[in-house]
Parts: sequence; C-alpha cells; structure tokens
Amino acid sequence: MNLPDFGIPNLTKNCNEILILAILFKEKKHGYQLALEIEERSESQFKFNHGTLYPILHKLEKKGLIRGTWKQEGPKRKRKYYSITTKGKKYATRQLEEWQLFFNQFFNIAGEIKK
Amino acid sequence: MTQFTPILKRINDSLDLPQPIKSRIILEMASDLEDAYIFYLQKGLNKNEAAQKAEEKFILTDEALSELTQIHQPLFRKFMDKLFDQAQTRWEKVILFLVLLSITTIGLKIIFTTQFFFRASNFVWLILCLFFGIIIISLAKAYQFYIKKDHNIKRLRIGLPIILILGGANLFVGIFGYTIELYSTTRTPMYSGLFDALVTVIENNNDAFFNSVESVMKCSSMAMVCTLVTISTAIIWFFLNNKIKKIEQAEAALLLET
Repeated sequence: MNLPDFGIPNLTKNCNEILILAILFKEKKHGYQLALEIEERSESQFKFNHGTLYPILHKLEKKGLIRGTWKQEGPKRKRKYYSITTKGKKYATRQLEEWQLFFNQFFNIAGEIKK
Repeated sequence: MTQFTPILKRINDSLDLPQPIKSRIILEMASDLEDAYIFYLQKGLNKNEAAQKAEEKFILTDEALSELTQIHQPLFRKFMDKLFDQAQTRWEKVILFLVLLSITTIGLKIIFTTQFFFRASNFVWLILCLFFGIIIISLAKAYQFYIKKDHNIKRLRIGLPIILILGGANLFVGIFGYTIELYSTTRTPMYSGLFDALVTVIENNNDAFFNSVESVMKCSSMAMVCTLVTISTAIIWFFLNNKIKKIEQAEAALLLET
C-alpha cells in the first residue's frame, strides 16, 4: 500500500487537497466558494487561508487533477472556475481508500485506549 | 481602482513570476477578495471591518509565495528574465542599439566592398537563409506591436521562441561549417596546411600559399557572418522581449486599476 505522506507539515496540505477534490466531485466552483464550503461543512474544523488555497489549487491544476476555466461575469469581472478531471477523480478515489485504510488501522490500535 | 488595490499590488510585487501568470493569479484573487468582502458584509460587518477581514484571509505567506513561484516558474524563463533584467536603463539600451548599428554597418561594408560572396563557403548561404527567416519573423512581430498594436496577451510571445531556435541553428551551422571547411582544407593535398604552404612558397614560389590563405579566409568570413548573425539575433530578441514585458506590465497595471 502506498501510504499518504503523513509528516506533520504535510498532513494539513494533504487533507486540503483531498477536501478540495471531494468538493469538486459535485460541481465546479471558484476558489472562494471552495474555501467557504469546506469551512462551513467542517464546522470550521478546516479553516482556509487563501494564502494556502492558491498554491494547492494551482498545483492540482498543474498535475491535471483539476481544470481551471475563466468565465466572464459582468463587464469587468472574470472568474476562474475549477472542475475535477477524470484523472483527478481516479486520484481522489485512490487517495480516499488509502486514507480510510490508514485510519482504520490507526483506530484499531488507538481504540484500545477506550476499552 | 478598488479598495483592494494596495493588497493586490503588494501580492503582485512579491510574486517572482512572469507577468501573464502573475496577472492571472492577481485576477483570480481579486474576484475572490470581492466575494469574501461581500460575504462579510452580509454577515453584518461594516464596510471597513468586512474589507479588513477579507484582506486577512488573503495574506500570502513566504511559503505560499515560494510554492506559487515553484509551481509556475519555468526554469528557462527564469534564467532569461534575470538576464534581461540586467539591461533596463536607457543608457544600456542606447549602447545596445549602437552595438547593433555598428554590427550592421560593418557587416554590410564587408559584404559589399570585398569579393565576399565569391570567396564565401557554401554554409554562408544557409546561415543567411536562417537570418532571413529571423528578419521576417522580427518584422512580423514589429508590425504586430508597433503598427497593428495587437497587444493580446495570448499572441504576444508567439514566434519569439522561433527566433531563438533559428539563432541557435545559425550558430550550429556556423560551427559545423567551419569545422568541415577546415577539415577539407587540410585533407586536400594542394592545401596541406599553412605551414607546408609557407615552406612551399619560400622554396618554389608557387600559388599553394595563396590558395591556403584563401581557404582560411573562406572559413574566417563564414565565422564572421555567423558571429554577426548571432549577435544581431540576440539583440533583436532582446528588443522584442523588452517590448513584450512592457505590454504585459501595462496589462497588469490596468488589471489592478479596474
């Protein structure tokens, strides 16, 4: 099994990547919508500073996991919408399985604390 | 000019990226900033508080800045930008222009006042063909920028890499041709090297020496043309690249004002 990199500095970043991909599974969204939805749905457990959002989005886009398209909204306003690609869907599914497996094993052992 | 112009300008200044990429990042942030501002207004905050809250959300840390740079910066472009940032003052541009003028004058003088084409190697024609291609593309770009005033960001850099490729090809042909010419000179019994020719001319006073000298001249003239074409190509490319950078910066400035 190829485990996700759970080094402390990477933990949040990895989490954010999966969360972004998960939100985009449903429909395309722009950066702010993504951050807001993750924050609201996680009841502020995952708070997004946009300083961290853009590097993640642009990295995912470079990897071909998401696709950014510009849309004109009003005379002066342009917005970049992100949608998940087929490659991104496969990647996210695989990552989710790995996370689930990892945490199952983690709670199997850590669960002893409660017993 | 929006209320977020200062923060967007700060981000723009701290991103070490080529202008079209930087502009797109700024454009994306600008629309998200506006959204965040509206969101906080709807939550009941006053205008100042909402703007401040929105700005707080968009602080780019040094780590985020370097990550964005790493993601978007092509190594070649980074190198070229650094190289051409070194010649930005008016005086440097004037000096470069004078160098180009001198090269053109000297080149034309050599070509038209000596029997250059009668003595030139066949490789010179190939070099001149490549240079002709460079001139055509450069004129097309100059027409696009200065006469047609087509400053569409997507079309700005089209053709510019071809100038570089043709310049590189010219250098390759020059070096290759020079080697081949020298090799064939030394392989021909009649021109068996300058030293032998000198000995021969002293002993027999025949034409061998002059033939060898002519052969060396053939190589030298080709090397000279190749060098002139390479320097001219580099200077043409520099001028076009500078113009493109100016157009891109103007677009970024416009973006920050709207």
